Amino acid sequence: MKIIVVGIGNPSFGDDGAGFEVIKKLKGKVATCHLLSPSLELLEKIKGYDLAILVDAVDIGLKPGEIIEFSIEKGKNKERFGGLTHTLSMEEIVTTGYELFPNEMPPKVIFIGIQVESMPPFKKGLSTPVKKAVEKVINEILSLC
Amino acid sequence: MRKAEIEPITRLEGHGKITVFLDDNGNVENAFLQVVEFMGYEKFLQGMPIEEVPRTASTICGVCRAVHFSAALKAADQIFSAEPPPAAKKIRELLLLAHHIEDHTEILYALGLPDFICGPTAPPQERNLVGVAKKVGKELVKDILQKRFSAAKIVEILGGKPVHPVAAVPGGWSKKVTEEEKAEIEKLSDDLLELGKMTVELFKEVVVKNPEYSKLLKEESFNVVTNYMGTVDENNKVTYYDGTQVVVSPEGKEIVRFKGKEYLDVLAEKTLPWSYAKFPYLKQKGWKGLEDGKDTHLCSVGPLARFNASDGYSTPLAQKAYEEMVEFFGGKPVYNIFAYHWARAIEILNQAELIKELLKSPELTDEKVVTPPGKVTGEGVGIIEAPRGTLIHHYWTDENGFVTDANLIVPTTINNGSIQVAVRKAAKYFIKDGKVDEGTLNLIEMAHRPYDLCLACATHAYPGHYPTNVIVYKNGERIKELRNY
Repeated sequence: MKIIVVGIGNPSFGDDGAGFEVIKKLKGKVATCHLLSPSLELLEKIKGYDLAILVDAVDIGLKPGEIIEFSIEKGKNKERFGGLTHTLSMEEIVTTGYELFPNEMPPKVIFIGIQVESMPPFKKGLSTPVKKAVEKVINEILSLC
Repeated sequence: MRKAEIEPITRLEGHGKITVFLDDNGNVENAFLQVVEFMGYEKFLQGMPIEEVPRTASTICGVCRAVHFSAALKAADQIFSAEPPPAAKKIRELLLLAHHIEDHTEILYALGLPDFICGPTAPPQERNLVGVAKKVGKELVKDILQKRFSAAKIVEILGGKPVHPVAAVPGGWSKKVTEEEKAEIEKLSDDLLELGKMTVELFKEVVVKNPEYSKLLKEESFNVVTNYMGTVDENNKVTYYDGTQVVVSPEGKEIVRFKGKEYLDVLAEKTLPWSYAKFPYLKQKGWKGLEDGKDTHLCSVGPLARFNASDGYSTPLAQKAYEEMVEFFGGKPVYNIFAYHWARAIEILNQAELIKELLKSPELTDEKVVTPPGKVTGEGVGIIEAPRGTLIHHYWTDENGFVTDANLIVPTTINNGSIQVAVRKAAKYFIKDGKVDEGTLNLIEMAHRPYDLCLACATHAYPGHYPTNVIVYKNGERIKELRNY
């Protein structure tokens, strides 16, 4: 199975760099790619793979370091799809991909989110709970490969 | 007095809030867009070696990847007394133009045009790129996206790394363009030229030829009459990487021309208690409040401002499109905010043509791409045209090149006053007798979308979108709540 792991986030903004840290440690073991924020580039990167795993920092009121995971392939993301931003939302990008490139998109797209503790500007390095979460996520991804 | 809040606004980088104040009859008394997040980048850059700043500054924003990079780089050249060789200047210009195209394309097709193609009052779930594909055809949108990726690919080839360019060095570029790379960029640039032509035509078909939207383009309520700033070449045509900054009055008469540090004599900044963002204005006119009109001190930047401040574009197809737009409006300056999207479409064409011209230059593949650093001057100003408008980076360093102070004036900040006027005018136009629904709210948001606000940074943690939440108050009591999610 061809797998790509996409780390999303800005390593210059504390825990926002969680996704980047995950793919940094997975390099050489699986195909990886880094994006600072969700953009249409994502489609170009994941087209042609069987499984795309998107790892991103989340700030949805969980305990710092807590991990959430869900599939966002077509049909599973409708309730979250809606509302647009200057940078497009992940669901919108993935949904757009399935609409326009149905044969090239990975049949499965998994989203893994790590709850942040803090995201101070231009401060590199992760908080302790997010560091621990990064290790957990890496092990989980390696178990899928 | 009743208060309607739109919080947070959708389709923007960063956080913001629109507050609309209604009078007792339910009509709009005033409206503001408040920036509620402040990142303080200038402070964080202090102490950093200036050669690191372009790469770091490029991560300020996940969208504007080449613009802070380019402006900081130009400032770093001055700090190290290292004028880049011609090849390096051309590489930088090429990178910036390709970035403009990818950014403008995303803004137009995914964020701006859905309002017109899917309809301004369509629910947000339909008013997006997928909705555009349903209306104009999947194949066309696929083609547009593929062509946009060609611009992204050029940024990647030149920048040395996907997403954020890393090939910057003060005094030039860290790698030359090989003949193979040039050949690949040439092939990719064919896509960009096609994209430019398609976009200008599509805009005319969908917006200009549609009687309802054509009326909006000429509706005085959407005129924001200000001074306009842009960067021009020696023939007074729009340019992006290097040139002279020019400001024209609301009548289109040149007020001032400046370069580098002279911006300090042109722009002043006002802080208002209700917003973290500053309000730049023309120093020579003095602060006159958030009002537009012939005497205004407010200054706009971005595609329409470049259109107004210049004598058009240096390339033939874009110039032809410019003349058509001038004819439609019966002259210039053009004040209508929706015309920003039209100028943005023309710029894609202009930038593609400029890329084609740059590729003809034999200097592009020169071996010499860097000038060694000289004496540390301690100060540098980099000014470029970003997709959203004129961007100024000003740095001061110690004798070793470590940043001691920084001043960043970004286009959204320069446009801040104009945006307030646009939001207020739209609110007054669309909210009558207290009637506020989801459709109305999008119509108000449409008034700031042409400016393509970039309020914060690349920190974007999921869910990554900010649904609109509106609360209507009457005499301090909450009487209605609306959501678009």
